[in-house]
Amino acid sequence: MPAAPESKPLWDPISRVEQRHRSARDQTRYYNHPRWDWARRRLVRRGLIATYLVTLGALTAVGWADALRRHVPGYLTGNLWLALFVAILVEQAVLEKATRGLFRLRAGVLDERQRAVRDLGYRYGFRILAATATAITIAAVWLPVDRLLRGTSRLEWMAIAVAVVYLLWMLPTMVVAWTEPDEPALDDEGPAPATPAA
Amino acid sequence: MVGNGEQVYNRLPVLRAERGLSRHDVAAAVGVHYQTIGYLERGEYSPSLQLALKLAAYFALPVEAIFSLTPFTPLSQQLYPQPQPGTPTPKR
Repeated sequence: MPAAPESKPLWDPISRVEQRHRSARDQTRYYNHPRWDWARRRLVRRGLIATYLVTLGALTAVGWADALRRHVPGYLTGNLWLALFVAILVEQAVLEKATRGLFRLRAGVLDERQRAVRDLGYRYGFRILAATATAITIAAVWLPVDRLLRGTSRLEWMAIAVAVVYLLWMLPTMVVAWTEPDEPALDDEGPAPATPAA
Repeated sequence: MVGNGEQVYNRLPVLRAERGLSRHDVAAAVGVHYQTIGYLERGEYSPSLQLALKLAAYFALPVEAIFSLTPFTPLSQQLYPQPQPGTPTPKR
């Protein structure tokens, strides 16, 4: 008489560890998807950075203009600001996929080269930030900054804050996207597997 | 170049070709991203000692047979050494 198949428990919870592993695998697959290979070319990555910076500049300018008009309801800049903000989010998402999610994925799912590249992004990003902060501080000594800032309203500060936060957030990603060479071509490879390797 | 700045030469493309392996195969065996194998082959990344030893174990070869600080002599030249210009050819 054949043995009865083992009945499955009604409630089969997935352990938290397994959940974390699955989540990490899914995220790795998401950021390494071949669909975004076009964005991983160096020229495209640099173009994306330029677009991102222009959009961020426009976002700040529109926010500043809006603040100067004391946020008049129904004014055109409000909608324009929102459209530019959405564009910033989209550009960020593409840049993150262009750099294979180096700054989004946990260190445990990155290999030694990817971790080295990420460290390089943080290191150079810090240097750029330090140089900029030093330059601004030195300029503040010579320029009448106190008079310029005295009239700055809270809304104007918010427009600047948005630009600074998004710039700092994406600085290491932009450093890596700018400096990384083109990825090795797969010309000499056989067919790539259906799911990209982690 | 990511790494310690010193060029490390390797025979990975030759080994991979002679064994009919793809970058994905090698990457999966040693636990790295397949593009990392590509960067290694292009000489744009110097591997850690751990990765070098893993690759050596995978190909069942000593590390110095795969990696070197000086360029490798082409295999064709090792198998069929060409006489240097100006040196007399041996008589048969």
